[in-house]
Amino acid sequence: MWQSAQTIFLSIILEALPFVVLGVMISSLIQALVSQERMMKLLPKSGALSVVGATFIGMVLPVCDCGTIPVARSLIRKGMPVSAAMAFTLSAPVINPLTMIATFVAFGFNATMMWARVAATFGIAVTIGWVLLAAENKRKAAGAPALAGASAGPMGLELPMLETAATVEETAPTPRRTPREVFNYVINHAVIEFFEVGIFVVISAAVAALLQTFMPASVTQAIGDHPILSVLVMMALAVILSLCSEADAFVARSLASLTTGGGVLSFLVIGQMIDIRNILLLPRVYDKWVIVRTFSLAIVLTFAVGVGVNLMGWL
Amino acid sequence: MKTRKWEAGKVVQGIILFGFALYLIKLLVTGEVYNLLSPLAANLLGVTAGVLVLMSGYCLIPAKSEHEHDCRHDHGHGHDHHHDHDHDHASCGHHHDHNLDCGHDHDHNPRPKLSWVILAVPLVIGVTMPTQSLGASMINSGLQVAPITVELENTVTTADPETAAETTPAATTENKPTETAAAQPASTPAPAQAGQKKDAAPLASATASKNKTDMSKVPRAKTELPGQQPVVPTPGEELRLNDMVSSIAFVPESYYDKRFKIVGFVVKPEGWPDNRFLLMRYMIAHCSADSTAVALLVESDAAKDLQNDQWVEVYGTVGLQKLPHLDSIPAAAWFQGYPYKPFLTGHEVKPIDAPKHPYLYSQFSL
Repeated sequence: MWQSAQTIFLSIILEALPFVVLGVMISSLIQALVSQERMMKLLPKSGALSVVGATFIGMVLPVCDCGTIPVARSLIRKGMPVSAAMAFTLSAPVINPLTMIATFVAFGFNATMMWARVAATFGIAVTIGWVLLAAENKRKAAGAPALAGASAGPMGLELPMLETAATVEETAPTPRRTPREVFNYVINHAVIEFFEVGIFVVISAAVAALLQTFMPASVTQAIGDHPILSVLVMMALAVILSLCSEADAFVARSLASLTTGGGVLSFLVIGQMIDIRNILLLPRVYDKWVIVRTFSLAIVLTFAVGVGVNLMGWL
Repeated sequence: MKTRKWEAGKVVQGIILFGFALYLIKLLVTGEVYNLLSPLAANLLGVTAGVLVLMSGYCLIPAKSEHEHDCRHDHGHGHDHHHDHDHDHASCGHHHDHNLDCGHDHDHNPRPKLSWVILAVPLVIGVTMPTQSLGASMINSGLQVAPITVELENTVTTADPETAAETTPAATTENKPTETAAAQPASTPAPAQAGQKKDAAPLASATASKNKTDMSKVPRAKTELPGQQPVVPTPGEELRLNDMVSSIAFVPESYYDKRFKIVGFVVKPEGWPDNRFLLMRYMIAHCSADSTAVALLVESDAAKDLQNDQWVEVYGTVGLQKLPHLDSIPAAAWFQGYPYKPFLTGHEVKPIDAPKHPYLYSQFSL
């Protein structure tokens, strides 16, 4: 059994590794090459539209949930409002070509589950983004300077981010840097982020591997067909298993025979929004009030979607 | 004044990164990587190893500072940027192209962090202990589920009287030969077999049913296999268990009563008779964390000499048997709820070394 736990532990780390490296590289490139002014130009003027737009960034930056977090942090530091950055964090692992293809294939070349997953993720990410936006605006109106994001200006940038990257704030790079300097800067930044993110990838892989190896069959047998309980159990399972977005559809498909359609959908939706990795990593990017709102809304909305699907008899 | 400085923190980071790169290269070179990942994921690791080498090189090549002043202690602005905010340090706005690591140690202390030990854990485990592919011990894992779920057009269940009769075919036919002969074409959905043997004696047909699969009982899918053609294997050649499990219900004629070579490892559940074992294989999409096990029952006298996890090549014939108890072992629960299951009569069981690719891959592996 320990042999198997070791195998699963290492394979979760190794499957995530390329995406972690890709994530920290993209994040460092954004940090080095995209100026704050350019970011402001790229973002729609309206905060509500920024949130919607941010959910589709994953289509061009295919990163899984361990890669999105450094990228989100870079985006925030370049002036993206927290509301839009959170919409990106929540949706990018699902609304990206790799995950969509994987889901399509896993569910027997049937696009229904893929579109259901994309739609539910999009809806929930946008809703949460808008709730955060409202809170942002309210705080801004109240004159609280503590809010990060474009509106708060460079001064505000440092507040929501904890740890290393936050305290050293680089502003827009100057155009006269040599490629070599940019290169060195990117690698340096990537090393720091790699060590920050990697630790949590390892911890969550250990938990997931132990669970997968030692979880008794009675747990999965208990998932059952209850329209409400099955959704709850599948959500809990997704959070604990912390699967990569490239792999989770295949696991969901194999569990489909044990549970309801709504259970499978909520497994696919919540797993990329909340899992052990995200619970450990998100507080390093976002403020506590942002995390609390995001997690509770994500849980409630996913649950509602799952139960709704079951009661309506869809999927 | 030029100084070269080694820094404990950077060196430790560099060593860990280099260790990862070496470990990845070792996995790829030895092929051990296939005990963990699909080929595509393994290829991604190759690229990753290159990037890690780059990153470790960056950390391990000592920083060269053109200034006596070490900007690491200045809120880390060792880059050639303009710094607009207040804790900006003017003296750092020069070219430090060898000293770009001085940006981020806000604790002003580039000493190694204890938490890095966590990152080294998988490295140490991976390097010191051989990693095997998943084996027999995972068969009872809570996440194992039936390898295939298809809607069958067959409606035979355990309670079905026809099924009950089938368990004692000789007795039934002998006692009421005329009735059975009359009843059979009517009750059998696919009368082809029955038609062929119309003239044969009842006893002869009973014997025939022992050797030849009753195609009317064969689990047959109601719908077509979505998105792909079912795999039609060539008799006498190697048959992969994932192809078999995905396709047998769609083109049963191409499987039953045909002879194949199937590779897998041995699982002997407790309390099983000496002439039976499960031939098992894991199917993965991306990595071993998303594995699904598939296990086919093999009947062979060779079973008594086999141990769990022994890899074997089995040459055998696919048949159909009533094996409802297999539903309690998820990996072997082909067509869960339907009592008749495919099995293999093993003519020859040859122990082999573990194959290079211990897992079977989905048609579309990520």
